Amino acid sequence: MKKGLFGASVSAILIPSVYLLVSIILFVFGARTGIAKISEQSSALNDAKKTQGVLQQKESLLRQIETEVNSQVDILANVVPEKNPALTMISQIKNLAAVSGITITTFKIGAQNDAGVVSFVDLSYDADGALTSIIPFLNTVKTLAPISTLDTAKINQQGGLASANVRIRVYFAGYPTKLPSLTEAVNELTGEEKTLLDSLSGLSLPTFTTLTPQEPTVRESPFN
Amino acid sequence: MAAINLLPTDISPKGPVVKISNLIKNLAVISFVLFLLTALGLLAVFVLNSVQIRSLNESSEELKTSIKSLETTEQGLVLVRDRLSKAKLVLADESGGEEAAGLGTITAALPGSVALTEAVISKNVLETTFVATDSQGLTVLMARIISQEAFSKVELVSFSFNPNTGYIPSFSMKVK
Repeated sequence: MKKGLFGASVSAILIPSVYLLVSIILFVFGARTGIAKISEQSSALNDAKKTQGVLQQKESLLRQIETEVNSQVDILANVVPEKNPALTMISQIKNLAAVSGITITTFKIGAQNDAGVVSFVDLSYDADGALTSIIPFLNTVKTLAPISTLDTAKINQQGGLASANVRIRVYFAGYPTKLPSLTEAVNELTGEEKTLLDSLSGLSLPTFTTLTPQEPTVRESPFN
Repeated sequence: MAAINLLPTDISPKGPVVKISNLIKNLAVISFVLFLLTALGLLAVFVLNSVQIRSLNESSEELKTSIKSLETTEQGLVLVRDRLSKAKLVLADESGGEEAAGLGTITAALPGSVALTEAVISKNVLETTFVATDSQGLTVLMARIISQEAFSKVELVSFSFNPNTGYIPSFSMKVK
């Protein structure tokens, strides 16, 4: 009888205890798993929000600058060209000399230097004219595109005629080959970049002539 | 309706055991209800988040397509930024530009009795030689050179006098 009494009491406590234990285990397991999943999902949600924010900003900026960027590219691709701009610079100097009343007698193109981030080529020329024209001419060369710096200049004046032997350094650089990742943020030009762009936009750009292709014609025989 | 208990009364659980048993039962029910509520709550958050993520991903895909259609503009912007950084490097390079500008200021409207015979412009240094046929012209030249703020150092390298040509001063000037 005692055993039966003990068994009933134990059952009365044990069975609800098992229910309680199972409930607690379910609660703990469920809560832990659920919270971990939710936390993982929240992180994914935040990433998705961030990505969307970046994409929205990028798309908006690109639409905003769509019209102006082409003209900026045209200017800057001439200011710092992709390839050796020595011939373009010679043409620019010749045009400027013609306007300034200067005679350019010789041009010499040095070997190009590709060692740095920006490559350059040295260009030497001899210029004859009045001193009052030659010095402003030297100062105006820096307003020409492609971008150049005055390396050395030797000026001699005799009998009212001045001659100058000038060496300038003309710069160029290869174009970037990679676009940033699609989800990478793109910022508009900074104030400093805009100021620089404005000053570079003032440079005289070279003019290029596009020749229209012509159909082949029948060549006349030179022996007739 | 009266409760029927077919168990012999002497083997049925007594007072405190029943209380503890009831308490445990209640706790079990409460914890199960809590489990259900928590599970439902978490499920709801999970579903909401899933819907939101899917919507964001769809919107991002649309934006990516739109950005791809603007690839030329993006290339342009990258090129513009790249060229500007290169131009900045070039402009930071030393050049004889300031020296040439300084020479321009010195030689602008010199008196007729003074002439520049030789000038060498290089990075940071400007060397000049003048001829002044009279001392008045020489004074004007000196005053002009000294008043040049662009030059931090002006050195009189040589000074000679030739009765046939006049005074011949040579200067070496350094930009700030």
